[in-house]
Amino acid sequence: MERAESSIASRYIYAVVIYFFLWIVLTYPFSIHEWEAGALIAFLGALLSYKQLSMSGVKNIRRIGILLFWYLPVFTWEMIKANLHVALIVLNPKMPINPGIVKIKTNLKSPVARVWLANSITLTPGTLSLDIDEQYLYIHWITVGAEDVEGATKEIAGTFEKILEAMFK
Amino acid sequence: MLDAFLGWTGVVFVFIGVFFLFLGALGILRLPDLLNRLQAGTKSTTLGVVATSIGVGLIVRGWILFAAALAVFLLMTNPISSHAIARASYRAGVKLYPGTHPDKCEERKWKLPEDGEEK
Repeated sequence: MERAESSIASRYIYAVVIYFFLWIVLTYPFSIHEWEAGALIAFLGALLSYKQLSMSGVKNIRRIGILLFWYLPVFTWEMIKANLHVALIVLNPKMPINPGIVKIKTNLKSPVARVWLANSITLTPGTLSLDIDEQYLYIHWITVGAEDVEGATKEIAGTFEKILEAMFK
Repeated sequence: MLDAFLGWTGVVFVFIGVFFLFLGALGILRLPDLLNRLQAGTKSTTLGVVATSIGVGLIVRGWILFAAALAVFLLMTNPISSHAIARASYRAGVKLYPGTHPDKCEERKWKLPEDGEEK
């Protein structure tokens, strides 16, 4: 991948922060002894595994901000809509389905961003990502709205692509 | 007062989750083919389990952080598993619902070697 790597220090600090935060969450009734042990283990664990955790280090903090305050509200709303959509189809005696597999094109470059896009598509109304081939995604759509690549892209990926583009710039 | 309010909010969340889980099961029973069933299964189990665990976190204080962590891990892994099942079933040639109209995936060239094919 052509993405620039961050410095080792930045990646290491990011790993320590993430591990320490996870430790605090998982040992919830807060106590100072837990925190001491957690800090020690975070530093040691990060030493072993910071290379695998992230490529861009502390810059990820900005992404987590976008994730929490922009992606998450949109995503929650889309997921509720998706469930009501499935509910309406399942509870309707006639079952109004019109399934098909369409192809969409994404402009996202980084593989991680594409994974996020595919996951988001799976959890939004009526769509399930079936396969990915470079910049094309194959989507199973339970009520097909547009068969051509451009129309389907606009309807399926439109909302999330903007957010993910800002997130993985 | 606050305790009771949070408790009842949690109960409402649990009921919403159970309702959607039930709908997911119904969808798996009623829909015609594997990919449609997978759609119902994935969406309703995700929202159902997230809502149920948040509800439990609100009822029992002190579990809310665990419930949130559970929800996050579930949101990250559930679509991936459904994607893997869908892709495997399509490659294995599971029959689609006859009304599946545009099947753009047919033209797809698989990059991995098929069974018995020379590399």
